[in-house]
Amino acid sequence: MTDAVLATRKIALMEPSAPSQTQWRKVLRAFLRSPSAMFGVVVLLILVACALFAERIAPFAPTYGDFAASRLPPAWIEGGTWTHPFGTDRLGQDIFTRIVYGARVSLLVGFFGALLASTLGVLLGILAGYFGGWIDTVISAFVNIILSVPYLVLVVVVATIFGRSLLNVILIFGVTGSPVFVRLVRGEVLRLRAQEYVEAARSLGAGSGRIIGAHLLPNLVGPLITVATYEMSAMIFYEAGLSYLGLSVPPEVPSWGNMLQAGQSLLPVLPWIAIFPGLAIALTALAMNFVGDRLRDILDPRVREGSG
Amino acid sequence: MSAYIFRRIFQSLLLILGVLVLVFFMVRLTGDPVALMVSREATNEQREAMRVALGLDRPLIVQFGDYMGGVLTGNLGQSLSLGLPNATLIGQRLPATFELALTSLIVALALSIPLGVLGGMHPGSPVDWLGRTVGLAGQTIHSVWLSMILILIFAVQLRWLPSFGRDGWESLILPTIALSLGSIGQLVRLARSTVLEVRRENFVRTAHAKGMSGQRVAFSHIAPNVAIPLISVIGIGFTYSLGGSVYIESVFSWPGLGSLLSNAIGDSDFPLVQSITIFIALFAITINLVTDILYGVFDPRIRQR
Repeated sequence: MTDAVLATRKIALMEPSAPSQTQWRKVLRAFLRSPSAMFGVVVLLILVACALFAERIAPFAPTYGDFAASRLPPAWIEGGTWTHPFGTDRLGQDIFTRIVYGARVSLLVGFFGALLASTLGVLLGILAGYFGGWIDTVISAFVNIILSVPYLVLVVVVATIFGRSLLNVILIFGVTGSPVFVRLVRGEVLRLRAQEYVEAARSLGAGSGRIIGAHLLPNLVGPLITVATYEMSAMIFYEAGLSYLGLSVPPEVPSWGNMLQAGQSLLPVLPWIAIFPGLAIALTALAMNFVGDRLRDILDPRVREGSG
Repeated sequence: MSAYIFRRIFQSLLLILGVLVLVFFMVRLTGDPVALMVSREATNEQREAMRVALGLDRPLIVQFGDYMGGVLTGNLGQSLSLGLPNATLIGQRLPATFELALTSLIVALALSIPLGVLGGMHPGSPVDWLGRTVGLAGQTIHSVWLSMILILIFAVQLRWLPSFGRDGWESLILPTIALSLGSIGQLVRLARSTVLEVRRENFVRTAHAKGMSGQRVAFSHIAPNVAIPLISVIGIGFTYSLGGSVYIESVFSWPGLGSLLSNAIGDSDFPLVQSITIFIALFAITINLVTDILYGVFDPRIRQR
């Protein structure tokens, strides 16, 4: 056997590149070079700050209403004042304040919903893909059943039964959102399991735990982070929809969906009540999509090959 | 071929069974479905009467048999708030939802497929940029908010179109735009990535290498292979429209299944919520079955799987 053949054998046995430390630095640099991704990061940081420090940032308490200042338009429209930059509602509640506080519900649902969904998805996906057999049959049945019902209807119905609190909404999104991750992880595990480096590890005596932990999981990190970013923005969307139907947090809690709901009947007279929460949702989703697109370009080599 | 069709029908039946079991047990998982349906002030006697009236005092297995029997014979029980059979209510609302979902599907397909396909054929071109922007808009603009903005502009300010109800073709325009934006976004991305994927195939490279003109490659090698996966897009688009109609119909008071569902939620009319869910799920599964079979008819490779 020639050296060249040996060398290619060696390369074939090497692991596909999992993001290593230097690679994370590359990811960071690639991020800095993309204006849209940087825009996304900055917007997300501002939102996180709003959610964490709402008490400091918002000029008023979320349920404080000043009747003397009710029905004010945004500051740049005639009759508005910079004390209430986005205007006020019928009770004199400050719209800007409620937008700032609303970031809490949206970000909590998006972050923890996606975290729970991806954790469940990784567990179930690895069980199904690695061990196969009846475990795979049961898990795949669960996934197919959940995915066969239109998602928007599914969450509405599950929320009708279990919902109407922040924790329940997070749990609902975590469970009903997991099938997407299960499919992704199961498919990747099935593909990776057949690779030569996994076979090599097994022939060296590595147990299931080690193969999963050291050889499969690191390769799943890239696609998982990318999908989780998109799922986060989708969950913020769905939460707003649920709030709008009155199935999420109680109406007195400031959330963007609740504001849409409250603004609808006042649309002809006080349109800004509904306009600003919609803009906030759009800006958040846009930021997350920009970050997600960039992450996908960097972390998923299969996409990078394409001219897209 | 028939083996493939039978297998797909069998799988769909299993899926339907799964959905029915899931819905049945989900309602009972909460502990006491009656608690969701009666007012807080209800006495214990009232609760008990409700339980007997709904048959919830019987053994679980009997309840399940009864429920399955009912679904199979088209008897979906009675609505609590409206006092009519659920099947009748669904039948009354179905035409309106169909009208809205089909129009938005047609609009979505007519816009998204050309945009996505052209974008995939010419990545980086102005058409591609437009398609990607529309796709992004679909993922960032909330349909409920878009509905409100449309009402604000075209109904409140300009007074061109009605803001609610179902009365002639004018009333269909705003809900259709609001409902189709989300599907357009999804379908543009799907069409675009399908084209990009086919363009990477070896047979396309071979055709180029043989010296075939770009136009001929596009028409005789890329187009047929893109057209087949796009069949499944119809199914995806339709189920997406059905789901979105829950929100859009409540914004526009469109008298369809979606607003029936959101009213039933408001009234805690659980039997009706359950029936509508089952109906929509069965419908979505059927649509997917049909598109899968069509897929198999046109693409023999699929039947092997």
